[in-house]
Amino acid sequence: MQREKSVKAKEVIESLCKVLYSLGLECVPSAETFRRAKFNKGEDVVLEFWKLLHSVLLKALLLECSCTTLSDLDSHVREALWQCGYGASWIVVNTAGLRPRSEVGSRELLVAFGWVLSSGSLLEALLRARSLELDILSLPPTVSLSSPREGGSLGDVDGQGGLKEDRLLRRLQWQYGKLRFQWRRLLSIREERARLLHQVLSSSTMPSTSTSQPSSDDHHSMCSTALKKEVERLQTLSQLLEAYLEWKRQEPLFWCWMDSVVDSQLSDLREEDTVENMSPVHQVVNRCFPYGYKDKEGLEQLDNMLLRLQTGLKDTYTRQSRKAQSVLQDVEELEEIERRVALRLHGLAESCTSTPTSGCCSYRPSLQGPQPLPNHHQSWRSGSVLPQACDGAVLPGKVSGTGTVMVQVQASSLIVELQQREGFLLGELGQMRQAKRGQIQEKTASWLEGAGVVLIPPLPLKR
Amino acid sequence: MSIVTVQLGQCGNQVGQELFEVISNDANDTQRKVYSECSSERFFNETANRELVARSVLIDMEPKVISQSIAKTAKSGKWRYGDRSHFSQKQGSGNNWANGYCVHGPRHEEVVMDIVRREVEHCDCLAGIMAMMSVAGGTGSGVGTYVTQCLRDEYPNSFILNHLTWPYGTGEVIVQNYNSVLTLSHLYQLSDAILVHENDTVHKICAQLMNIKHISFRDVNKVIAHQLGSVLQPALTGDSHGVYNRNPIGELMSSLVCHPEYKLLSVCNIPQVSSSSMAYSMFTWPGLLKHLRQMLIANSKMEEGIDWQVRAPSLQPEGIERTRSHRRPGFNTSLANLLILRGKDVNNAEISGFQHPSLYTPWLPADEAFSMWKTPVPFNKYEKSAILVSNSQTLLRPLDNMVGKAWNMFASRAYIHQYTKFGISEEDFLDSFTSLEQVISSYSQL
Amino acid sequence: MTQSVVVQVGQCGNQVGCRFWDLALREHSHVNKKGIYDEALSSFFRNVDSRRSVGGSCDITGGRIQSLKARAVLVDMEEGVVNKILQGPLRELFDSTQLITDVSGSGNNWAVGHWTYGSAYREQIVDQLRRAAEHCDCLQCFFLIHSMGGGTGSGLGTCVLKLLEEEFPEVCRIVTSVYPSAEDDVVTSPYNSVLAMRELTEHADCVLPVENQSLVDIVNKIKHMSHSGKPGSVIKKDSAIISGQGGVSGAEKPFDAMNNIVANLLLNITSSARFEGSLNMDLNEIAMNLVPFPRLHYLVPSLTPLYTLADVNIPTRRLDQMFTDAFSKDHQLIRADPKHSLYLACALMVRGNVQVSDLRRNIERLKPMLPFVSWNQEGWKTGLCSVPPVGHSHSLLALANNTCVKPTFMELRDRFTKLYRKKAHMHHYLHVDGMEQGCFMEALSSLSSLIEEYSQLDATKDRLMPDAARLNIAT
Repeated sequence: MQREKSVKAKEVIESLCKVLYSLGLECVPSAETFRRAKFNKGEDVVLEFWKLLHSVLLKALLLECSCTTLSDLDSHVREALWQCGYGASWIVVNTAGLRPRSEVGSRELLVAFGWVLSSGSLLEALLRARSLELDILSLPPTVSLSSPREGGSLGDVDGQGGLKEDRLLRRLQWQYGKLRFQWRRLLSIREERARLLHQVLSSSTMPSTSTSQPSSDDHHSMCSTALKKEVERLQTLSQLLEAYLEWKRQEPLFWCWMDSVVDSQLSDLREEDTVENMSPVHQVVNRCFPYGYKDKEGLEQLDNMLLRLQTGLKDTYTRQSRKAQSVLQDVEELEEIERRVALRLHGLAESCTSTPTSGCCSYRPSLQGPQPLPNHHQSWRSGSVLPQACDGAVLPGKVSGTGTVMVQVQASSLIVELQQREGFLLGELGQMRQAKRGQIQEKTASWLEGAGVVLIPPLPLKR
Repeated sequence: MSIVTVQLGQCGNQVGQELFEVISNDANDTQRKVYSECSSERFFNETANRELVARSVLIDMEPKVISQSIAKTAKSGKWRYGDRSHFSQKQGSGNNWANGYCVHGPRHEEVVMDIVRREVEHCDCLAGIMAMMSVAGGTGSGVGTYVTQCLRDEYPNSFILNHLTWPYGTGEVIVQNYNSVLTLSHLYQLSDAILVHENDTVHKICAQLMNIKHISFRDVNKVIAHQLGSVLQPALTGDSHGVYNRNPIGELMSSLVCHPEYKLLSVCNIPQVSSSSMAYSMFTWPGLLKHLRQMLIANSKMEEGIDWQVRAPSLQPEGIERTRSHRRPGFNTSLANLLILRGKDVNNAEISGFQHPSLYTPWLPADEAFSMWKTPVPFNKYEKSAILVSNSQTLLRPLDNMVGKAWNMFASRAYIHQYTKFGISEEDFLDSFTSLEQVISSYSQL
Repeated sequence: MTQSVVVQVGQCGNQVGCRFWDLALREHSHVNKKGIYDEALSSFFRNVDSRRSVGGSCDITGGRIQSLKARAVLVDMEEGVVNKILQGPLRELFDSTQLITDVSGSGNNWAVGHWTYGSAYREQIVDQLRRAAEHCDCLQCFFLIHSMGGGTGSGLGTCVLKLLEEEFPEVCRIVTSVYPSAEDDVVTSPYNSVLAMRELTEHADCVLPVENQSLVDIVNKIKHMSHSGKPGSVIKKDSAIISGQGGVSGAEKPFDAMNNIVANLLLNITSSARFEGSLNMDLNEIAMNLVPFPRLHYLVPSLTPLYTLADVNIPTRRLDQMFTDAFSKDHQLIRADPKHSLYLACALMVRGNVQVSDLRRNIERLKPMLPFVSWNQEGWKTGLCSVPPVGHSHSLLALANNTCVKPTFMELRDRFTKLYRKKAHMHHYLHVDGMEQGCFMEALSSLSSLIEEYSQLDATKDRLMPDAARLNIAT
């Protein structure tokens, strides 16, 4: 059983390596290296992972760096990880100073790699870039024309005399010229495609004639090398896509394996000391938003993270629930908490995106809760006389109470109330987060044995 | 996509040779495989035994320069010209545009166009044709104009860029202003864009920035080739999804010369230092771009001696027209600019200084008028470099001078007999003058 | 690569030509050490395998030098000079078919040379010219060398010029004319010169006037300097300017020093067409740049270094001095002062290790001192040839289209009218077939109108000429 698992893990890691390699990363370690990294073994493994992290981050962040020495590499990787929000202790300077490179184990690097891989859609982004590189023929030439109306003052010529007309004319001439150039660019691409197609066609329909005619001199060979190049490109592309497909099929297994890595990392940490006895999750959260709680962006990210946490948890939970019927009550309670959190967060996010000036309609739902929203909108639309009626006197019984009341509330008082609520919610959120983390840790520790699921919160990469 | 270069006359052949030298060195220097592959696809043909053959056609009416160029490249061994892609005659055009345009051009049209056609057919996809020549002499200007005309007929939908070297204000060829007027007026109808290098400014760059004591034509040509190469080497356009621009000439034109009355482009770059002082120089993006912006608005082609007093005019509130009186003295109004950044940390460069509407003509919004390319790959040993291709009033004054001098000469009918001898009449001259006065007027009203 | 043919007519023409071939051989042998028949050599020499039959030439460049033949046609109506050449060390250069001689001479009579011999030898001359042209791959230029004072040079020489125009209208004709001194021992030289002037004005592309008196002055000055024995003022032994030492011919002859100067002028004018350089100047560019109006094609030559001193001056100063000298009075090959007359255009043909920056610096330096015509304030044409003349590091030939030729022409006219008023020696001319009284009048009025054209330009010299009103664009 154990052996079979490790075989499968090896397979999935190999498929990952294949994808990475096809994506054009320069230093991809072998599956064996991954395995050894899990057990924190070997100096060479450490180096390979430094290089891997370096090349991944280089591509992911579109950085430019020509580091060659290991020390350069080291600081560069640390910076890049910091930049995208990874918060393990070894990348930051703490009271004891920066941890020297030699003390960073390969497992820590592996965890970091796993984190980078899981954050956002790294592979997908790289895949997109790479396929654009390879598939030059289907790359659409970009046509960007701002419409002349955008120019503001030029658009509205209200008979201010010839000067403006002249400008408008010049502008139009410019746009016309631009269109003409765009058309030529498109044409040249079409021609290229047609030429290649023609070559494919002629070489596939008349394979015998082309070989029997050596007279078709260097020009022909030139064309066929271009064709060959194109075919090579397409082959690489299809290989890449296949590798990615294979990886996608097996991806869950990899994360299982990764979990085991994190587990062993965690257990090591616990053994080591208590000062740094924070789970990576905790650290990430702290690192990621040192100042961001008041930001909308931060909130959204947090929200996002929590939602993913919830769904992940739910998955595990439903799976586990079959085995553990006895803890059903707890689960219901948890779900109740989740629902509440979700509702509140949703509301919070909504209220943050809207500005007070944009009208009362947009923030009303946050005070009402989500249910009455569609109803309300319908009634607003269907009875077009309603707002007028509301102006004069309230028609009790006909309109749903809360809705009407809110219409008449002053915007400023609303903002105050919202801010209060925001503060309250934030506090509550913090508490809940803390409580929930405890719960999660307890439950995962108690329910899941061995190769169970530990959740690493995925965070989007900052681009 | 590939660019076919047509080198014409002594100047065109010498500058062209230096250009390919710069490009092949630059592509060799870098470890970026994609970059160097893209660059070589653009300028070179790779033969079966991995030799790089320049996608270039060499044309001159006398043999010395071409054989020199071919011998020089053969010696370097990094790349070479095609075995059959050059054409030379025995006798030059004698500084006479009419001789080149009316006699040599038509006489050799068929052979020359055959060579060009062959070179174009070697490209999988033709991005455009660049004709390189001077405007002073007879072959570059006269035959060059004729060949451009043939290219336009043969490839009506291709991008044609003319790279022109303007002569020193004095001392090269006495009839240079006539030749220039005839060349420019014809090319303005034929070419899509005209990229100009002035010998005088480049000479100054050699003297003041590169500290060359005895400046030779080779030094001047090298600077021109450096600037030209930095424009044409691969770069990422704004919307390219991380893929190098495939059609540099087409993209250059769609961002700079969409209006048919404004086709004159100039280039300036920063930094430009002697190779000895390069090791001691440190450059930051803010510093470079600040200088480059001032070079643009104060109309200075060099970072040395920039007039820092010149400021962009404050934008008039809507409804009030900007008139001549509102203009700042010495301020260089742009129609469109293309900024190209190459080297380390390009993504951190702050370029908003070039996007301000006050820099541009009122009829074109700044977002339309400004575009940028960038690449993290450093160019030609410069860790960072910024290049500005500008369609602006920069060339207004030299053009006005050139037309003025030629007109003065024309008023006393000096040298006209040399041109009528080959079939260029006084009316032809008048037409040319008229069309250039139109260009001058267009640019001065920007 | 293009080729040129030298046509040397008359005693003076042949003597100068002889020096030219001597020095040209010397220059090429200095540059071309391997004995390969190269492009540069081909411009003035044919490579003939003498073992094969006549015409069995091996003109393809790149092979070994077999036997060099000058691309030249030698014409004289007496035998003396040509015979001397044929007995001298240069005899190998010429075939007997390249020579046209007579025995009786023209008797210092332009009409005899131009009309009598002109019609008698017309076929033969045209034949020779055609044959020389056929040996050329791409014939670019004819160089005609003759004197103005005598009968054959001026009379038959200008007749040859007309033939060249008829037969080879496409080929550029550059004439080197040696003008007689005022104290010329030939009484009829004013007649001959003015009659020849008309032909030159009408049929030549460029004329390089050289005055005997200037050459005499230069040679005297050099001799004086070398004999004065001042320390540091010794003439370089290997300088090719006036000394023929190191050439093929042996002892110096009386006029050799003077003829060497003219020969050097020809060497320098063709250097850029023969050798490579960073700024080529082809022969057809000379007329294109320097002749704004068809008749005003008299280009005053000046050569530097002329008085080469083997002293230790700072190199750049010497280089700049060379440019300054080219505009000084005592370096002109006619007695004239271009600095105080009006320049229509000026060409600088530089040889040796000189860069464009040196050229620019000197033009900027000299420009303020030199008056240029209003519409051609920047009338400079430059050429850079990388091969210096033998024995020098660099040299400069300046060609000025300058109104300073006017005094020379006016002096000529005065001497002509002095004779003409007395009708002296008229009958010698008038009994020649084809010669009429009218010819004199026409020649005189041609010269007068030429002088008038120069005067009109001269009149604009110190006036501030306004720029021509530019075309207006209706907006």
